[in-house]
Amino acid sequence: MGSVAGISVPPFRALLHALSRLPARARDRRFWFIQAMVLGVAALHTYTEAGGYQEPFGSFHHIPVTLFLIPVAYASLHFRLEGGILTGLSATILTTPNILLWHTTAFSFEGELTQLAVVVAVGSLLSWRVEREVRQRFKAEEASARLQVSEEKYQNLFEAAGDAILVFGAAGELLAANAAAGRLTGYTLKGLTAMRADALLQASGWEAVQRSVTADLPKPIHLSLVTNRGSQVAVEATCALVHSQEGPLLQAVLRDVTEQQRQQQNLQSYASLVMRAQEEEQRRIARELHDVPVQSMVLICRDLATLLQSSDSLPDPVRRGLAGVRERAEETLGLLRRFSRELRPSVLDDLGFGPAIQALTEELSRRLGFRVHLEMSGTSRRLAPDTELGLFRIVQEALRNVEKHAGATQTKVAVYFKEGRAGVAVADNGQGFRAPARLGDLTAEGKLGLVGMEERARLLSGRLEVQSAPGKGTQISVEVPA
Amino acid sequence: MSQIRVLLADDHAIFREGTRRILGEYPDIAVVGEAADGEEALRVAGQVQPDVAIVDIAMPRLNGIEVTRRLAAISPSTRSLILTAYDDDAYIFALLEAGAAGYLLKTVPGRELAEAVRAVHDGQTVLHPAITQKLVERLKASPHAAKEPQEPLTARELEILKLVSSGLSNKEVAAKTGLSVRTVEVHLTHIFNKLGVASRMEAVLHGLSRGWFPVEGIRQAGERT
Repeated sequence: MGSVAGISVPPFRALLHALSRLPARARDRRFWFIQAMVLGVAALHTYTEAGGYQEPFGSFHHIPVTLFLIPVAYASLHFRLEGGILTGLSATILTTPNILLWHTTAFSFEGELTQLAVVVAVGSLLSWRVEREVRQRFKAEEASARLQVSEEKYQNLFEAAGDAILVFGAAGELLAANAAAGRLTGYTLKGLTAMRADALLQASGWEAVQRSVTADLPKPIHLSLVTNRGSQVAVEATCALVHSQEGPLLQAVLRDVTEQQRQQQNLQSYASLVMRAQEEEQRRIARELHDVPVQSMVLICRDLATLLQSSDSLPDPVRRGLAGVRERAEETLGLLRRFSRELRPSVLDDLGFGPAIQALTEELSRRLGFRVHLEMSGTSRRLAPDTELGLFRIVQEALRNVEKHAGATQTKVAVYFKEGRAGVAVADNGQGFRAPARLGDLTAEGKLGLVGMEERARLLSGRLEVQSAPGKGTQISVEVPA
Repeated sequence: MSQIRVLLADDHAIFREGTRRILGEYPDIAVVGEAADGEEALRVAGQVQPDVAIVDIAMPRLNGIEVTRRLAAISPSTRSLILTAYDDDAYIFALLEAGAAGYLLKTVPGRELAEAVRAVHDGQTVLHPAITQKLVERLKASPHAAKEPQEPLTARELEILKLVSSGLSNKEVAAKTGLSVRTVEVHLTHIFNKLGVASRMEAVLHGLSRGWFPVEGIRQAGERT
C-alpha cells in the first residue's frame, strides 16, 4: 500500500483513528462538549467587546466571563480536580487577548481579572471537593469488596478445615459448627447447633474455655468432648474471643489428641519398661559379681593372709612375694566391690534411700578431695522401692555430672522427707551450662544424663527442675509423692 | 573346758566350708550349725542356741541386719559377729543398733577370725581396723553424732570405758580396777544411760568421737591380748 494509504483512507476514518490514540479522557464526549462551551463563551465575550465598549449590550457587557463558571463546574463534576483546574486555565488563556485589547483602563482591567480569578477559584474548590468525595467512595467500595473476599475465605476455611470449629454465643449456645465438628462429635450439624456448650464440653470444660480466652496469652487447653454415643474424646482446644455485631462470640478450634495421648502413654510405659529392664539387668550383674568373682577373691585373700600368718618357716623372698600378691588381690577385690556397688548399691536395698545417699556423698567426698555436704531434713524413712531407686539414681547421675563436668569446689546435697512427699536437690558452684527452655531440647544437645533424670522423675510423678547458667553453677531438684 | 558353739550363716557354701575348716583347727571352737539364708539362720539359732553367730550381711530372704535384730528374741545369749565381703561403713550404725558385737571383713586370716570369735564370746566388741578408721572419720564429720552428754561421766566411769575400749571383758576390768564384776556392770549401765547408747560398741565409738581416748587404744581384730 505505501504512498497510496493516505488517499485510500477516507478523512473521517483518519480522524477516528487519531481520536482513538488520544488519552482516554479525550475520547469522552463530555470533554469535547466542555471545550465547545469554553470556546463559545470566549467567542461571545469577544463578540460583545470587539472594538471596545458597545452600548447595545448594556449591562450584559459584564456577563461573559462569569459564564465560564458553567463549563468549569461541569468539568469539575466529570473530570474532578484535573478537569476543574485545566478548564479554568484554558478560559483564562482564551480571555487574555480580549483583556489586553479592550480593557485598557485600570478599572475594567481589574474587573476582568477579578472575574477570572473567581472562575478559577470556584473551579479549583469545587473540583477539589469532588476529587475528595470520589476518592473516599472508591476506598469504601474497595474495603467492602475486600471484606467480602475475606468473609468468603473464612467461610471456606471454616467448612473445609480438618480441625473441628465450634462458635459459641456468650451464654454457651452453639451458633455454628463445621463439617469436621460433625465428624468429631458424631452429631449432624443441625443437631449440633441445637446443643449447648456444657452438654458438649461438660460444665468444667466450658468454664475452662471461658477462662482461656480471658487470659493474656491464650494457650491451647485440654478438654474432654462428649460424643453422640456418650464416649469421651480427648481434644486440644485453641479458643479465641471474636467480636461480632451480635456481641462477643467464643470460637474454639478442636483437635483430636486421643491417638497422640495414647502414643505418648505407650512411649512412657515403654521408657519405664526399658528402665526397669536395665535396673533388673544391673541388679543381676551385681549379684553375679558378688556371688562368684567377689567370693573367689575373698577366699584367695583370706588364704593368702592365713598362709602368711601361720607359716613362719617360709623363706623371706617367698614371704615378700606372697605379701605382694595379697596386696594386689585386695586391690582387685576392692575394684570388684566398687563395680558391684555402682551397679546396684546393696545399702539402698538393705537400709534405704537416706543411708544410701550418705554413703554416696561420703565416697564422692573421698574421691573429689572436698566435702560434699549432705543436709537431711524431716525424718528419714523407707519409701517405695521404685521411689528409693529413682531418687537415688537421679542424685547419682547429678553427682556424676558434678564430678565429670562441673569443676566445682562446693557441692551440696539436700534430702527432705515431708508428709506424703520426699525430695532431693543437688547444687554445685561449678561452671554451669545454658539450660534450655524445654527439657526436651536436652536430647538434641546430647545431654542424655539429664534426659534420663527427667524421665525417672516423671515416672515417679515428679518434676525435675534444672537451674543453671554459664559460670553460675547448677541446681537440680525433684520432689515426688512418697 | 567348754567349747564356744558357733553358727555359720552365709549363702555361699564354699565360704562356709572354708570357714568351718579354719575354725576346726581351734579345739575351743565348734561349729554347731550352718544356714544358707537369713530365715534358716534364725530357725537354726532357735534350735541350737549358739554362743556366737557368724552372720553375712548380704543373704537371700533376710539380710544380716534383720537376722541380728531378731536374734535377740530367738536366742538371747547369742552374740553376733558380722563377717562380710563389703567394707560399707553405711551398715555399721544399723548393725550397732541391731545389736551386733563385731564387724569383720571376710578377708581376715584364720587366726584373727578365731580370736574375734573368742573376744565376742567374752563380751568384747571387735571391729575391723579399716572399718574403725572410717567410722571415727564419719563420727567426727557428723554434726550430731557425738553430743556432749547431759551429765558428764565421772572419773571412774571414764576409766572403765577406756578399759572396755581396749578390749577387756567385764571380768578383766573388774580385776584391773579392784571392783566386783557386779559394780563394773552397774557403772556400765550408768555410762550407757548418760551417753544415750545401748551397747558397749556404741559407747566406745562415742568416746572415740569425743576424743576421750585415741583410736589406737581400742581393741581391733588381729591384736593379741
